[in-house]
Amino acid sequence: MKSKGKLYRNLFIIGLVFLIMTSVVYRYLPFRKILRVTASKEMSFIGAAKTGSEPPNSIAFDFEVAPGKEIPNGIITGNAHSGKYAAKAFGKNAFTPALERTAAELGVNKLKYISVSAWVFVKPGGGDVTAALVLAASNNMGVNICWKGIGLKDPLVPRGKWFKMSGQFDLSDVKFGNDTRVQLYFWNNSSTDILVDDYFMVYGGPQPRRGDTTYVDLTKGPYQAKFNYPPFPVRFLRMAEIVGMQDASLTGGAGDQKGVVLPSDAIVSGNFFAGNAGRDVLFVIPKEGNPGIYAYCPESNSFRRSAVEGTKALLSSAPGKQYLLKGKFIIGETEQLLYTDEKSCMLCKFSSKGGTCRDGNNAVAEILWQSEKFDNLSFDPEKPLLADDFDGDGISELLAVDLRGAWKLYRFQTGKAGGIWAVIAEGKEEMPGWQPSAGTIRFTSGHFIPGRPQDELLAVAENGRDGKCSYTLKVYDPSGKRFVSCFPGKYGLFQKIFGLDTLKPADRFYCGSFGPNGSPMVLRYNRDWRYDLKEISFSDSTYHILNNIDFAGYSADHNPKYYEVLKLIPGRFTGNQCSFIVIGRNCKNKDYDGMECSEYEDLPGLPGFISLYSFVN
Amino acid sequence: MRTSCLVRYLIFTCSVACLTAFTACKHDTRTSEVKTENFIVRGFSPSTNWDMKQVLNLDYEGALQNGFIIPTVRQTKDGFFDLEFSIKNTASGPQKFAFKIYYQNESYKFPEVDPTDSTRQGENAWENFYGSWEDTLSGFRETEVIANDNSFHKVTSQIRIVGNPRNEKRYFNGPWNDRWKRNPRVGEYSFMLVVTTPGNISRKLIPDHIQYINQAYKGEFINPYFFFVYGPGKKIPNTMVSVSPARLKVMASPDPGSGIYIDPVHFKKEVVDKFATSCCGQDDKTFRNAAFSQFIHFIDASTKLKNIPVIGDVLQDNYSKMDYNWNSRFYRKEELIAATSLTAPEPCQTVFSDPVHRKITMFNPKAEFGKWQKQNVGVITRHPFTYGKWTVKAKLTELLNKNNMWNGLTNAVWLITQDQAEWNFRRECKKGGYMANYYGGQQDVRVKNVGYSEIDFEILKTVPYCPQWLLPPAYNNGLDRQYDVPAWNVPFPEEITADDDKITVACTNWDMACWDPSKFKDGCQTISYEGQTFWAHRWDKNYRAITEKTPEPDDELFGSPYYYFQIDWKPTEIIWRIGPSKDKLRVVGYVNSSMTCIPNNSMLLIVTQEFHNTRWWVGSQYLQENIPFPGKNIVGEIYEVTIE
Repeated sequence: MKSKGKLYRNLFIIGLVFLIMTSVVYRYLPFRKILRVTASKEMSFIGAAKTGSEPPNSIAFDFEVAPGKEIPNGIITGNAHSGKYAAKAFGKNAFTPALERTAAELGVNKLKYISVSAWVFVKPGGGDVTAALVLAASNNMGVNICWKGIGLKDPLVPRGKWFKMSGQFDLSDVKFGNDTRVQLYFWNNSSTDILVDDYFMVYGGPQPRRGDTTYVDLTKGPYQAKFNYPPFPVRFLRMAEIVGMQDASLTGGAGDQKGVVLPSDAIVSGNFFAGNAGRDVLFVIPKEGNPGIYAYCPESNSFRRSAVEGTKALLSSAPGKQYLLKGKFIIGETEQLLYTDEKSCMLCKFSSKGGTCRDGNNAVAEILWQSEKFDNLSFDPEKPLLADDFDGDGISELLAVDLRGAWKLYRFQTGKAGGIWAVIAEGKEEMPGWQPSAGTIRFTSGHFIPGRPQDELLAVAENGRDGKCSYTLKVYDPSGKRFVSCFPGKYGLFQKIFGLDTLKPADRFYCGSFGPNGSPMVLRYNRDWRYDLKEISFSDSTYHILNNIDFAGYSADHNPKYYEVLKLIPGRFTGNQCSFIVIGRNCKNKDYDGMECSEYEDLPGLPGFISLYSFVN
Repeated sequence: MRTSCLVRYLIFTCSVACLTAFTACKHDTRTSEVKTENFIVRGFSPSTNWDMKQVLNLDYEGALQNGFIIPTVRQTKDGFFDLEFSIKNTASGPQKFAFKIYYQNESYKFPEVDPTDSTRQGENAWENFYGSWEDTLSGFRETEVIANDNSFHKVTSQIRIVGNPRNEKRYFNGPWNDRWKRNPRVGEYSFMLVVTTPGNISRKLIPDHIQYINQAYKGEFINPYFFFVYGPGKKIPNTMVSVSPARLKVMASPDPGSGIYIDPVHFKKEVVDKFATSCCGQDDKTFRNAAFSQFIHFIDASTKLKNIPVIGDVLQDNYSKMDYNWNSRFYRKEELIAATSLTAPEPCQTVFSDPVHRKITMFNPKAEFGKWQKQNVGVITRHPFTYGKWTVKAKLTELLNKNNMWNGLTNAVWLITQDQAEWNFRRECKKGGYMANYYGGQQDVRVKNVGYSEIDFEILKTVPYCPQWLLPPAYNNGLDRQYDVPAWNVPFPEEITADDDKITVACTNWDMACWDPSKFKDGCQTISYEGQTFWAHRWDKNYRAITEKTPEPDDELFGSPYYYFQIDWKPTEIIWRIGPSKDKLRVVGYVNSSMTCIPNNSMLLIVTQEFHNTRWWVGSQYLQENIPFPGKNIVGEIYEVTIE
């Protein structure tokens, strides 16, 4: 009995050991098709596979041998689908050189699906074809953990011509480690001679859309609009047909007259000229070249460029960042330009003897005031500085807000030495909701709420701690010499936010008479993730998203929203209605993140442009 | 055995053809003399009151209730063909003779004789559309006593062709013989006169199941053409069998201008009354006269898509692949519209019958903000047929715009079972049975018979399934990186752009995965027809359909004033043709009974413009959910339908 128990115990141990061994063997010698070719050695002789952002998550490999290099084994010349070289898989159980990457190189999280393609040439003659385009993966011990193939099998395999193979592999059940090697190669298991060229591999699979939940489900009932929740109706900015305004040219002329304005140029629009029927012109300080004025001429339905005399001071002041503000700082019909850079600032007014639309006309810039310092503060253009009519008297003021949220309101006073900027009000205490130091904040002034004589001040902040955004909408109280909430005592300090599309510091706001009949509109432009221009309106408690804004009337498929760099310059260029001069460019720098682009390029099918857009309905 | 049988069949076919040709030239459709021991028959004419050179267009009046009748009182004086023949009595004394007239549809039939055994009726020959006098209790009729006076005596009779000529109970509804359930087939009819002696009848040399065609023999109907031309009937003494060289040619032309009936199954009377027009409704007149109904698609709830919230006129708005790519990447889930494709919520609003121009106009209605819709539209004929060359002259909507961007629609010209009820079951599937349900999935049960059948033209933007080493294409779906245009605006692979201006004409036969055909196969296989090779594809052995795809230029099919689409449905093959005119059709699809079960039940024609879930079309370059809702009504027109 005892010996019988011992026997059972030994049998159990033997069984256990067998099980463990089987598991180990299975783990490292999986009962799967084990086929693998070494690739790195051959690859080193061949021109590098093209990986990168064009298109993304893909590798193309055409077996081209780098000039001067010896032709590696497995590569032949004379019959290739592209270039001069192709890979050969001649005879039974022959393999082409493999395209190989580690999972880490491709991105382990991008390997749920891999699509592959290759071009294949089966030589005439020989027997039936049995072959496969293979995707294999092996672990760090060199053991295959995945082997998948697109079969190529007679009948009806074409002979004597290049044809394509492609397919997609679901690899969601494969466990990739960083050092897992992924190989693409061609396996010929027949006596026929086969050439292969132009491997292509796409990894990553379809990227899911951003977001969480779809709100509108029409299978459950009719659509019921929910305040500030998408989808929103769409309004269109339509491109105006302007003579000479074509591609990147604003005027259609030559040289300076061509009117090529870049997004990186310092640009401001304003009603700078008397006798121009109140129309705004575009003042541009290009990165290279001379400043110019671009004015719309109704008679010719075109823009005309005028050189600007007297801008030496502007150009000599500093290379680097230049900031242009406009405002009606002195009593009169026109607006003036407040120029600032890292070293100085100056206030200019413009004049034109013959009118901006006359041939050969030059505009003249007259410096009204200039200083290396702004008031007693060292000038810091990064600090908020806004020009608008805050007190509603028809004259623009300058508002400066410091990092603590303290502020000063200046008014330009003509007098000795051309004039001074006088502080007409200030808040020395921190203004709640205005502290840039607490996170990110952006101030925008404008007519956000119709019916008020003066401009309001919108401060949109993102809390540095939790990333939450908030905003305040204030108006200057001239009698109390302070900024107060537009709707005092109603909802506390901050306005309410409803819906998904919160206001953000990165937003740009455009207030103006954009409506078809010059009616006021407020637009919010954001490019955190994509082009996103919306018409909104502010109420006493919140803002209401009214419409998405898209573009129409452009040539080909050059929708401005597709451009990597898109600059919108609002102005009343052609009449009472506000419109946008829109500049679209693509950045040559592939690391472009939406901030600074040093060089632009025309992409195929998407050349740079400048156009005028306005709402027509 | 096989050779002699085949030869005999060929001789018969050729002789009929030659006779037809000969008589066509001589404009004489009467038979010449045929002698037996006791009599001579000549001058058999199946119709003295109808010119056989003339195509008989089926009369739709009353056909919905009674089935088609050939001819009707609007086509011959009393609604019958007057037949006659002359007989000379060569016997020793005066006597009566017995005769019977049979007809058979020759265009859509199975061979009467088994090619492997000439003594046996051909497989499925009993399915042929043959008949005789519609009173199946009437066997052979007797002539008057005819003297043996060495002269011919004229014998006259009448016949007409009706549905359910065997008066089979499966087509009855209670006491009512629903002859429309087995309508006369279109195409050519032959007429066979059999004359014998009453003695042969009384001695049962002509068995009852031949005299009375409603009777079966050992559970199977025996085709009298088999019996008399190939079988035992050809050896009966003093019996004459004469197949007239004159053939009746029948076609159907459902009139698109005859109105559109609204089926109460889809819309209640009070709703229809609200939206009815003079040419669309549910009233008695429209019920009687309309050749078409508004087709209401079955919408599978599982095909719900989350569509981009874009409304646009893809065909006119310069919509581009870049637009498609941007819309594919840069909308959040929260902005999407979850919806299935829709059917018309109200009748008569998207389909119009124009009696003046004799056409049907239909449109997929535009969407509006808050009322997003991709609504299918279509019409269906009301009179079923089995087999036929179904030709549609139509201008359906263009599918691609000038940028070769697809508008998401599938133009479909298709046949569907008239009814899935038992009376309309397809013939038995012997090898394992059919998959029981159209929507049954892989685990569906298999059954001997099903009523479902479908033959499709589906024309849309998609890719070929074959050869299998090119599916799916290696798409790069791109990334939502706005500051890197090439990252989101990724071009299609070259094999896709090579056919950029083409749409795919997909030709499908829904055989419900019956494994009877000898070359039934999953995956890809090829078949040749008239020098062309077609790739046919079936996903797996339980997949219910076999499909062939041909790329064709969208501008030609849908940019021209009209185009022809033809489904030539024969007992053992289906041929899909398209072309700019009826005499310039080209084959774009072909299958035969060696690879797929060809349906043999009654079907109707449907013409639709419908929004498909592109996941039904594996490998498609465009996803339906990334295509805008239509910004304008998308119009299609049907000018002519013929079934020949």
